[in-house]
Amino acid sequence: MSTQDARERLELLQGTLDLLILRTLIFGAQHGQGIARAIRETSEEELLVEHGALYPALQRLEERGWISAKWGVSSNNRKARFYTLTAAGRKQLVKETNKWERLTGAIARILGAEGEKS
Amino acid sequence: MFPHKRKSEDFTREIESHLQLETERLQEQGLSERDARFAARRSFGNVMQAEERFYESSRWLWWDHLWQDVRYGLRMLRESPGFTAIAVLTIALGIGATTAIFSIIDAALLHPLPYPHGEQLVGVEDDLPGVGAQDVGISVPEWQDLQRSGIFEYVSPIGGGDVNLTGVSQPARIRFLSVAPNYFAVLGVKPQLGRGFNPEDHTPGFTLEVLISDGLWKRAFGADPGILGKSLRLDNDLYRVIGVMPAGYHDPGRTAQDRNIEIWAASGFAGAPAPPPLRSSHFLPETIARIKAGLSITAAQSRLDALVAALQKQFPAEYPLQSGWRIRLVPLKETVVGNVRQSLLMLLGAVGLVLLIGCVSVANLLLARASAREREMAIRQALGAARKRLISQLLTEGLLLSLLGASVGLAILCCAKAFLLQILPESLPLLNEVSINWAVLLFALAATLVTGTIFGLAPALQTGRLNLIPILKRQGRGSTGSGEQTRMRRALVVTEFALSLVLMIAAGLLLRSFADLLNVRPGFKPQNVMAVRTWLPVPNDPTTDIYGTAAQEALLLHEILRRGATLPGVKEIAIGDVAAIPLGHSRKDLNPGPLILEGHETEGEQPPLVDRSVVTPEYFHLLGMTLLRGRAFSESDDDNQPRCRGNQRGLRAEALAE
Repeated sequence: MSTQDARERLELLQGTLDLLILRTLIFGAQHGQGIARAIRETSEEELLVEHGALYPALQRLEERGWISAKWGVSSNNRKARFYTLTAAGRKQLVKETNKWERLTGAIARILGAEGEKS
Repeated sequence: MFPHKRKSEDFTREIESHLQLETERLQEQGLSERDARFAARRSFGNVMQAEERFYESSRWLWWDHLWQDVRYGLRMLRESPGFTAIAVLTIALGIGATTAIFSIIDAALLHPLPYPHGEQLVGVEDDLPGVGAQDVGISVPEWQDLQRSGIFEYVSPIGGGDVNLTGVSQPARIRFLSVAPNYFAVLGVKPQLGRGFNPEDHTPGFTLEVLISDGLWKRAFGADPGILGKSLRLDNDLYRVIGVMPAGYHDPGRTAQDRNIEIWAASGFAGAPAPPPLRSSHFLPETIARIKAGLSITAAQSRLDALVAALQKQFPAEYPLQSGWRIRLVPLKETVVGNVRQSLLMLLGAVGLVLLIGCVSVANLLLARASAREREMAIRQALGAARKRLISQLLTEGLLLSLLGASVGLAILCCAKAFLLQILPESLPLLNEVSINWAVLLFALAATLVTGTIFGLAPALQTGRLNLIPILKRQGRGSTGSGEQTRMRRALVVTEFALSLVLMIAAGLLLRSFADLLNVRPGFKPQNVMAVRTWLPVPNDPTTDIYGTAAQEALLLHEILRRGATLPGVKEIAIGDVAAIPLGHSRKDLNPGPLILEGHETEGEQPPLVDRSVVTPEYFHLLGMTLLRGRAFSESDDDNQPRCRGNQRGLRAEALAE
């Protein structure tokens, strides 16, 4: 089922995975699989997060001090590593969100102008 | 906060937990357990790659690599014990020898003299360049001028010699130093027991107090703690022991004899038995001084030059302008170390070359091995090993070898230290103990790293140029090595040969000089000649001197000649003064006197100075000296008919020059 989905879903743009992880964690602590599921469900199955890429990204964010991690127990009683947003992570999220909005806004304006011309 | 390191097992566990959660989620959606696990795996992608990415982000990666290289290098070395042994021994020899010489240089040249503020200590030398005389010694009035000049903290003349020690259980002939009462204040050294001389003592003659060395205290007095105040006799004069110098104390001197004094007596050098303190009587052979704190040697020298100029004006009769009298300050360290510096540095250069030759040999061996390992390197490169990693591995192997070699070398050096120190020449001025200290270890480490890099680099450079395809296509494991490699190895052999040649030539020249030295005809026959040096005792009270007049002394000398000649094995015997022992005297033992030839007008100029000595008639025959003209002395030449023999060539040259 996931293979057929993969063809239709959108590939993530470079650098956006960090932003999505930080944004997802704003609702509280979550483990890696939970983050992946949340991104897919919130994006209404549009965004594909390759799970293999998710964990090195989490590791990177942890090393930068934007998230912190702790082993805990999931809702269905499984051991999992839970990630929480730190204060620095919150600041980073605001910054990244602003940047993203400016970028998408600019791209949308250009695309919109082209559309009017043709 | 210290960021604690996350282990890769933890990361793997997290991935496992993810797969578990994902599988369960998919199962809830109705997939069979097998399909669910399969799908979870698939959507995760490459587990290994994720783990690798985690691993590579680690900050300790280089450490892991290093550790891998070290382990691999050690395995390679173990696999070829013959090669390893040869390489390690070669490096051990090079590093060991270089470090040994460096430890001597460290003790002799790099350390300051082992006295407090040793840099303020100077030797004071009187020169008379106008008459071609250097370091003629100073006179007592000059010494007093220096004391009063305000340039020095203390100034002390010193004069060494042997002395009869009696009044103890075992009479002995011991090394003796007459010093000014402020001598130990100059050096800044205190006795371990009792007190030193009072630096402000102004007794004209000897103060009749002595300090003894730790060695003499233990040997002659059984380390008696109640030694202070006891009396002993030096040349029949009674002295009181006031202190014992610490063990390991050495006087600043150029020879072992000068450094190992056993008894010190203080004197003002102005009363008996010293000659009258005339300004022109330069009888104080050596003088050391401590410059006032805060004054550099150059500043002290310029103030001293002004003082000399003033004295020259004040005493024109004693200091004629044409003699060009000046006083020179020499750092005491320089007077002690003297010309050893150059020889030591040359020796270091020589062992450095040996080390370099060893390096090149090992590099050559490593290269030969590298061609055998070409295939291994090619396979590793083909499998995706980065060139950087291969080079760093080869460098690690080189460094491992050199570290092993250096450890072996240092271990041997430490074991053989006592033996090596024994074969050092006695004349080496080692006031500081030769030891394997931090500076020496640091030197050895630096040498090791440099050598390791040098010969590790040779094969490493080679891998940079590997052409994979032909090597991989080649069947079998052995290979003959590429043309490139042959060229490099040839270059190494040439280097090795060139370096060896330099050493050979240097050694050859040394041997040649030594052979020439053996063939030099000194003008006498040294074979079977033995010199015995001794002093007649000089009592402090001249009236008690039983050898006071020439006639009294002649009586003794005649008796010595008569009895000496009858000793078994003695063929001939002669007596001369210190200057009469050919090559056996130092410049200071000479007592040059003016030569005035009858019938030659000196026209108010200074007559030329000639070195002179006093000898008995048998002297010339005993030493096999040939006379150019005339006859030797005979017994009939006595006090009533003064006679003189001269080194004719020297004298003629002097006469012609006039």
